[in-house]
Amino acid sequence: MSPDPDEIIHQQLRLKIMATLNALPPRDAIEFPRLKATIEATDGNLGAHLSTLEQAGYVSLEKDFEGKKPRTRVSITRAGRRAFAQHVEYLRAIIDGNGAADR
Amino acid sequence: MSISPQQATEAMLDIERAQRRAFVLRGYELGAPHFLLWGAIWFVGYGFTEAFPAQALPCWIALTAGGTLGGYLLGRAAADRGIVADDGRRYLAVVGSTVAFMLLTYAILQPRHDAQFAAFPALLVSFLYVLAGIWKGARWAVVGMVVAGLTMAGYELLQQHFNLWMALVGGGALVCTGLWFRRV
Repeated sequence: MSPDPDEIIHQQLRLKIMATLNALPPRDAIEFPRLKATIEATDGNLGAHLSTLEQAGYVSLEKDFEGKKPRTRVSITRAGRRAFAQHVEYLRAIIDGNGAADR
Repeated sequence: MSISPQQATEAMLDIERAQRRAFVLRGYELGAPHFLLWGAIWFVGYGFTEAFPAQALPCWIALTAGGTLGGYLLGRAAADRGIVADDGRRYLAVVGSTVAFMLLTYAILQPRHDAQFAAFPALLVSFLYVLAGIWKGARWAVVGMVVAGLTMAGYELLQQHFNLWMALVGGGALVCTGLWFRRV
């Protein structure tokens, strides 16, 4: 029995966001511009998808100031790591032919 | 929700690419302060060697020890922030191996000119950067090739003031690399 797909994570850009954040060591966060460059997204696009992931409880956004410059740091939550791992497991099951393609 | 095996494969490839890119950019971010540190060391070390060649050896011993300690502390600071798992001992091992290899090579090949002594560490480090670039991202390889090219240009064309060349151009190249690696 394979786990269920995660419709929030499966969207292509959100999948890239989650993969990037999941690659960070525990306790670490990535600044918004660096995340944008890593996944090659635009400001607006990334902001919208981060909101969706934040509402799902998968990522955490921390806003502060570095000197006078506003800074946004993004990190993955424990629930986000768990959901990402389950989604990857689901994808692997599909590729291996053990998962249900239609749900 | 319907996901075909082909879509699942594409999604897994997207994940792998994103993780690879995150790994490469993280390597640049972590490497940047080390380039700034060693760029400054090259500037001082080669500059001092140009001005006071007779005192070059103790100067380089002190600078290498200081640079190694500085690099170790940078590694520790990254570990304390949870960015890397390694606590800096791997860095010490890399520097120790590199210095040992350099000294053993000097013992066997016995360079005859000052410029040969001065050029070899720069070429060795360039080679290591190219190797790093094969695994860790193209910028490392670019730096290795540029520093090797500049070293050879100075060695062939400006041997009289090779140390000055390496202080300004070699050290400058490393500092520029540090600034480049800090940019996303």
